[in-house]
Amino acid sequence: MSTVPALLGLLAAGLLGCGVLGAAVLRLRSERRVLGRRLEQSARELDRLQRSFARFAPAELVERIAAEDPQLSGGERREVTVLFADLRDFTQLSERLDPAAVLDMLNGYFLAMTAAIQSHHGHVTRLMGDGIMSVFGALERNPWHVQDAVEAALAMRESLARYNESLRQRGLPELAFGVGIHCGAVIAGLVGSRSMQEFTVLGDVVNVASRVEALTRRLGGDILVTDDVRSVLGDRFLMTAMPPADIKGKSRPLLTWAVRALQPRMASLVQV
Amino acid sequence: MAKLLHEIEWSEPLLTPRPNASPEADLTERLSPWLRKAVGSLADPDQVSHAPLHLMGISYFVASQENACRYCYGMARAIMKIAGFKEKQIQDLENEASLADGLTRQVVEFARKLARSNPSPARRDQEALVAAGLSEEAACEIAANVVKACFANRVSTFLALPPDEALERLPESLFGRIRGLFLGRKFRARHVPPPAGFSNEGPCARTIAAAGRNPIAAWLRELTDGWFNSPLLPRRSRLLILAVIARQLGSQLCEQEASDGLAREGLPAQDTQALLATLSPASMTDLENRLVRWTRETVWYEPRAIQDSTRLLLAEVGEQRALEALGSAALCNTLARLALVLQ
Repeated sequence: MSTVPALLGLLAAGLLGCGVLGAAVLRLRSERRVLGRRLEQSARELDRLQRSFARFAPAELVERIAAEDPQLSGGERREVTVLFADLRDFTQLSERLDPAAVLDMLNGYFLAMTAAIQSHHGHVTRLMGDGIMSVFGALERNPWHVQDAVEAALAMRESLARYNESLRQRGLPELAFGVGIHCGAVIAGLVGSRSMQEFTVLGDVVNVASRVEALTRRLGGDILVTDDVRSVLGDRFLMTAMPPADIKGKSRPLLTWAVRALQPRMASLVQV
Repeated sequence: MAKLLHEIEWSEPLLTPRPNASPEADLTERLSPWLRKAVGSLADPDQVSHAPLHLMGISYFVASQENACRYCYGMARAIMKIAGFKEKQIQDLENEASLADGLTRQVVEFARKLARSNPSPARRDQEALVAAGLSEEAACEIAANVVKACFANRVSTFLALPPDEALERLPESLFGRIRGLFLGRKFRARHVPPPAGFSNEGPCARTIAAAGRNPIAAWLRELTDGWFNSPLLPRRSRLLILAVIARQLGSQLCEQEASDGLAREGLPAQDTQALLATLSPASMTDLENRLVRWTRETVWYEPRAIQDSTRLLLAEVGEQRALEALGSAALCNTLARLALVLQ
């Protein structure tokens, strides 16, 4: 007789246990669904942020930052070519034009120049007022970064000519630029604080490229390269030697070359 | 972050199908024999000698995603579902999330690194697979499987093959899942003994040795011999394609093998070095110039951009040579990446 209540007691305890366990399982499932939804939402948010960020930095860089590439944060020494481009007399030009027209002109110019640079394996790393700094060979291996930079400069010249045609048709003044190119070893990586970082290259190469760009105003010619650049170009470009010029930070005058064009027999083979 | 399936931009197929021919039959007819055979064999179920089957599937899937091949990625995704992977497991692989199993995580990281090769992978990356629990032979087989995916991804991307929507839809319906149970056999990989009569002699033998001794290594050997002996492009042009890709990826062994081959074709090693240093158009024929310019785009690319470039190449050099060039670039990217894991 005493076994029946005992069995009933066991059954009740079992049912209670099952109930508790079932409730726990349901609660866990519910929590998992909520966490899953949050994770999906976070993934979508991250995706959106990555897309937004891609407008401010090269897509390859955004991917490497997202992947927490240690070489970016630790920096790496690389052989690169640095190209600086600057618009001539743009400050004066901007003072006599409507601000909206100035911005519109500048954005059109950046769009055309960025396309020319990217189509030759370059990355625009910084826009400074009306200036552009771009680097070739910093984000991926590129054994031909020097040639690419010079071909990009020629492509930029052609793009600017086309852009000027559209400005003329809109009754706006034409633009003119100077481009300076130098190559050598730099340190590439992320610099800045936790709240604001940028990918950049550091070293004398950057300073020299910038000074060479400034030389275009003194020496004439829109595209100038250093002798280091010329020495690795082979025979594919027509160039003219410029008189040696003093530049800030260098004890000896710098020899530069004005790039006129591709060698005619190569023009049909090389896409600029 | 690698792209997801719906994010990949894909253009219209490179080749317009001829009237009254099925797209598959038409395409394979237009490829040269070695490439036809290679593409045909990609549809066969995987034969695996050393590595766990599920890791072979995962490494192929991850490489296809990393290479943003809309065709192979979609197909590999559907096959994984048919093979029994749950949607959540696949999403975890795509997003590299919740990969609790250390070996799986290691294989996923390795496959991504080798497929991307920026920065270059190295021997230590393959050794990490061994440290995580794979045998040496299995690690080699995984590497070979990743570069096999790189070959398939490139051929499919350059040709802009339209996604196989019927297969991709298959696992989504109950009827499809039931069919998948039967169709699964068609796709299911299986273990086989290592190839008995496999002799790795010929062009790029030292590179192919990195694949180990397994059915994929034997496939690579046969593929490379077929490519090397195909008459549709001059042998010098083929070797230049290999040299340019090897130089771009920093694959010293593969570059050396290309340089040795070019020397046998009459181009001394110092001339090869001078040519590779500047890629001066004056040192190359018109055809080589056009091929080399396009070849450079095949190492790292956005699918839409490389499909546009390939279309341009087709117009410049004609269909036969363009198809041969795209097969060559796909194979050379495969070999040069494989050689990286020996460095």
